[in-house]
Amino acid sequence: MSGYHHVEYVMGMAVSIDVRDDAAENPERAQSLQDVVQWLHHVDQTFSTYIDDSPISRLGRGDVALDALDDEVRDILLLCEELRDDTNGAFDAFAVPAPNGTTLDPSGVVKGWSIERAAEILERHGHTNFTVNAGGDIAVRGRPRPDVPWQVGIRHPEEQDQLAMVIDVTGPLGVATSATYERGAHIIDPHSGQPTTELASVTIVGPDLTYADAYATAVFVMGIPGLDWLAKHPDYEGYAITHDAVTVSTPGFNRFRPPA
Amino acid sequence: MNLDDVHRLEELARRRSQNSKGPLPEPRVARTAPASQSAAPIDPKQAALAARLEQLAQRRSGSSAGAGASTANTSGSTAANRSKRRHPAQGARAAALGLSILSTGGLATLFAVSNPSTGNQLVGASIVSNGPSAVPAVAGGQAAAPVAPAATPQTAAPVAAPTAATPAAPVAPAPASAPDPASQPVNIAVPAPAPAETTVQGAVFQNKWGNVQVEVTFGADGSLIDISTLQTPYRDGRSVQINNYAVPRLNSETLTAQSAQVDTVSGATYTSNDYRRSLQSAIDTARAAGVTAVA
Repeated sequence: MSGYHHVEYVMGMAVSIDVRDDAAENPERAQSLQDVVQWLHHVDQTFSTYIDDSPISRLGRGDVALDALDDEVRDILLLCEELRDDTNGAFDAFAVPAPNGTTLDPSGVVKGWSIERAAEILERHGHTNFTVNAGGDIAVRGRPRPDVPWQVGIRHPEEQDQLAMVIDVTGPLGVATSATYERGAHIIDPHSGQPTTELASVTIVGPDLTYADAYATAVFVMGIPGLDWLAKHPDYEGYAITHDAVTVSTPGFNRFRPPA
Repeated sequence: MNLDDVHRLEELARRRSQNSKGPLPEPRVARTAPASQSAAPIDPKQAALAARLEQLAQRRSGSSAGAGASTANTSGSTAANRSKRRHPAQGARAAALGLSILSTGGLATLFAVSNPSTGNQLVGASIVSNGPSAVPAVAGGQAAAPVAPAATPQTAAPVAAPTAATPAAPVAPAPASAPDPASQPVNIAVPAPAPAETTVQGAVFQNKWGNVQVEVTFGADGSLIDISTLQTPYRDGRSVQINNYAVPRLNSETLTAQSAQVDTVSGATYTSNDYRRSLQSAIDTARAAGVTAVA
């Protein structure tokens, strides 16, 4: 018996937890899964903009002051502001209409941040080889088998059952993809208020999924030049697919391509 | 050192700071969320956040827009608030210009023609580049975010390659001025009978940031299959911001990746419904059945 695998429906999506460590070496496995699942539901209850009485919805409506909420809400909003400055506003938690009717929506950073924390919880329980995949954003640790990297597929933007490519990833790394595959789902450019149009999908690989996720959103908004912007974060590499099926990547992304 | 010297040094320092793009922001060291200091509103970041929340409150009272909106609608007040900010498309166009310089220069200086299947040089294949090219197909149909018009003086003077192509098939230099790239798709003709696939290396070409060299692969019908960059103007991690850092590639990899074994899939599945129809869902199902990687 090796590791365990679990799919948790939370935050309106499926979170796949794939632990490959030998179970015999991890007697705490039941506890580690329980802790991660509990954490994910806590994040959902706190930050969901689909839940009308979540702290973030109440804050967005002005029903509660920031000081009255848990520190983690302040931490997330400070992180959002840091990212807004860093991305010249391409990432902005205060600019895009949220499902709860407010324009306060830190969801773009909450997902990556919460999955990165989920990975830390698993590590604290002694796991070293696993992935946590939340709606396509993945915290990667270690390897699936000795001497083998994780094979991470990047979804084809138009064919949902096909891959645009497969990359080799050895943790610790985060892999995040931003895309709008279907009509109706949009990523809004905070500057114009309009859906962004140039890219079909953007994948970012880097040390912290929190930032990989946010940068994927930001580069998606910026378009291809966003990959130039990404150069200011040398640890993060990007791969974008246009609507014309042209792929554009940063030079450093090549190290994730499987050997020919 | 007298006072004049001091003034001269100050003037020098001022010019230096004007000429340089300024230091790049330091990469973040701490990757965790900043620690909360709820009792210290003096912190400028906290103060800025408080100001943003205040703006949010003002927008709320000033307009009811946004209520119920979940997708593309935005309130007028939101747009107005943002209008002062520099639109990323401005920077974007400058950077895209770099991208098109890269590919234009490369395409305009194609010279060494070789057949990858034999390794032999093909003499007589003619490659004609009509007009400047943005990255082919990147510009096409993307009116909202056009890849910038190409051709600066650097690209207008391609390195004249001592050429392996025949004299009868000269490489056309890129024009000095660039029409709208969307209306001027790159036109590359390979005369029949063409080999099954032709790979062409461009001359090493210099722009102000460094060397550029591309390799282009054409199909039997002359269609562009792949562009890869052999050299980029990429000197060190500190200079890349002003460079064109992105490397154009065509979608040849999408043709081969589909049969690969994968452990997990990165892709934007926003809802549980997306997930149910996703490849990741299939992988999870297989994993539950004990399979460790899915074809």
